[in-house]
Amino acid sequence: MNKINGYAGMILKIDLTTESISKIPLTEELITKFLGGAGINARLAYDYIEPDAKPLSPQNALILGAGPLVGTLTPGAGKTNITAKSPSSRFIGSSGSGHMGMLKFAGYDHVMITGKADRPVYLKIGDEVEIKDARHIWGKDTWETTDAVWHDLGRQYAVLGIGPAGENLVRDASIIANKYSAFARTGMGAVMGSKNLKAIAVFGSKGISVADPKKFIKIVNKLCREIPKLQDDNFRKYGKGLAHLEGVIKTGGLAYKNFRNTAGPELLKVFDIDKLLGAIERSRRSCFSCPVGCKHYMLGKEGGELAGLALPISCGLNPIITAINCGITGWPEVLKFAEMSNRLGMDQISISGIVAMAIELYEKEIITKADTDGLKLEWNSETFFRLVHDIAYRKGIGNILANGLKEASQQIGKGAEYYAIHFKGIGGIESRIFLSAFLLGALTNATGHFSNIMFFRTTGDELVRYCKKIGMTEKEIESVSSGPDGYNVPRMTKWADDHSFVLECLGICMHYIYQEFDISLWADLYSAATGIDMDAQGLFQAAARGRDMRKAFNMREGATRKDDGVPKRFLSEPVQFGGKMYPPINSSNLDALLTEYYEERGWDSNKGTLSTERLEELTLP
Amino acid sequence: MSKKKNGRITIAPDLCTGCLRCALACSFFTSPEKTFNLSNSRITVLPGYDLRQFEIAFKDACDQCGICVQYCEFGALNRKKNTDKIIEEKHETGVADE
Repeated sequence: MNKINGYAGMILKIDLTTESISKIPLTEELITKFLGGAGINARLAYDYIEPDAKPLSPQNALILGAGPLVGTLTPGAGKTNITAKSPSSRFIGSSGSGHMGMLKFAGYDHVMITGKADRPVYLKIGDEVEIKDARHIWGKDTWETTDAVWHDLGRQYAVLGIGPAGENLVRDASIIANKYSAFARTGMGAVMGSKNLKAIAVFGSKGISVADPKKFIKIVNKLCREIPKLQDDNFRKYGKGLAHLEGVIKTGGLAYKNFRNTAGPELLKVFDIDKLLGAIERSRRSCFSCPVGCKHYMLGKEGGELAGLALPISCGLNPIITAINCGITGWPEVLKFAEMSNRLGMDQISISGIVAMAIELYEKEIITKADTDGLKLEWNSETFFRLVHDIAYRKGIGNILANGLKEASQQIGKGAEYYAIHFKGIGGIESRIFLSAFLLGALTNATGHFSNIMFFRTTGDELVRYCKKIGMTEKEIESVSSGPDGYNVPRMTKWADDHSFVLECLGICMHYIYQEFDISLWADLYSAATGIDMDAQGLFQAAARGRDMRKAFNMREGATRKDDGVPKRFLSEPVQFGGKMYPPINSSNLDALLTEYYEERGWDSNKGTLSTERLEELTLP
Repeated sequence: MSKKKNGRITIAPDLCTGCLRCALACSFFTSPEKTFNLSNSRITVLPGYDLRQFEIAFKDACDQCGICVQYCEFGALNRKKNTDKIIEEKHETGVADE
């Protein structure tokens, strides 16, 4: 097969046990059905990870994928995906980040890593592929690891590293790219650690061509002209994340003390953004090929509250959301957590969920000082940082907590499972204040991670505009445009999730600015890059295949409808927010919502599974 | 004296975000076959070890055409206005649409 433009055209396969390195051509069928990135990764995971493979065994495959627009001038096309069987959920795991686009220049769209090295190693994926000794960097944090690899190979390499958490097989360990960009969710860092793989360095000198350069650049330039118009004043002043802080707080999105309550608007006084900006010097940072630059480098001003801080940071919002759930408030504490989780290589959302659970279990005397080596667990920063550290190094009670929300709570027993707030084992978000496609997506997503499409309360003309933007027909729009929440939440969840997956497959960031563009524009760009005729409907069909592929993976692992449930606390306890009490989620209503979601997906609405015909269509060799 | 030594493209490393779009654009527009390839770019952008700033440099082959300036959205690369005409001429013969 001739190489298709836009794609590198090759999959790299590395077995760390036998140290064998091979190349597999990327087939036209894979491209046609699943586009690339997260979509093709889902299919490769199904094909190459055996159903009985344990997540932390040599049989699991760590699969890297860079979509067809990655490596080009497409704005925001730096998003790459890592997929494997998740040690947190034991279902399919997946996480994305913006600093692995160099993979295309090494000549690969995807990399599959299986086996386990007999000593710590790191991979050099360049024009040549080498398995290199990493014994001298084992034990180092992600910043030190990156420095060591840069010293060895040069700073043109993108470096994906794990910290102590990944080495110690902490179930929610992350992979950190270039010191600050995280493949955070679903425990991909632990999979890497289980293979004795400390880092992956990527660069190369292979070129990426596009089918119609003139048309391609014309669309790229159009996008470049539009992007500045989409950056509002708040974004320019505060950057992504912090610009959303007020909105998240005001809509009840901040769980407090292990989801017992919700933090209210009073927190805006604690997290005064202007006070933060007064205490730091800040400069913007971008992912690969992104003209938005929503990330930051923060430097504490001398003599100020944050003196000594020197932190590259992806998103200021996540560490706030997660630390608050452990009762921690204040900029110094939150930014310390951001640095700590980054250097140790841990997912902020899941790890803080585990710490919050532990503190509550201590309060409820389900665990005692006998379990914690005499440590009193309280809602304060001393407990918080001690537990985060002890989880990373598996010290004391941290050795159990490192096994993730699901497994650790089962090990502790005595009713601890009730206090483990997770979706399929992955740390979750508050879902009781109001229903939205964003929140329902957290339940139904095969990976347990919530959707990256921020679809909350969009109704009326705004809803119609969104639906048209993603290429829905009049009939499809009609089917989603009414319901008690202003729109049909379960049906819309399907569409918003697939919108997010289109971007994930192409390699486009899911930042709200990139969500603004018509899908037909991305389809035109894909056609110009690859020479393959594509339209919005075609992109959505491919995204649905990829989503279904993930479902097929989970079905093979025994997933049933009950795995799409919510934490028990959400079904039995009300939550207070803004002086009002919100009832627990009604399980009958939830069942009805799931049934309608499955219908919209074309799944068996009773079982929540793919039909036999769809399964065959997707998985036949 | 080379065009580069005239210093017509100025670098403000404190404004660089590390997106590498300058290098992507350079590799594409300066290659006859129009491919993206950072190794062929005439501008290099490397992260500092502490990530506080990026190190930006032009290779000897750089003829200061200015395409990197056009694709820098952050003001890290600039050129004096009296040389803007060169960019326009470049685009008339290249594949850029404007």
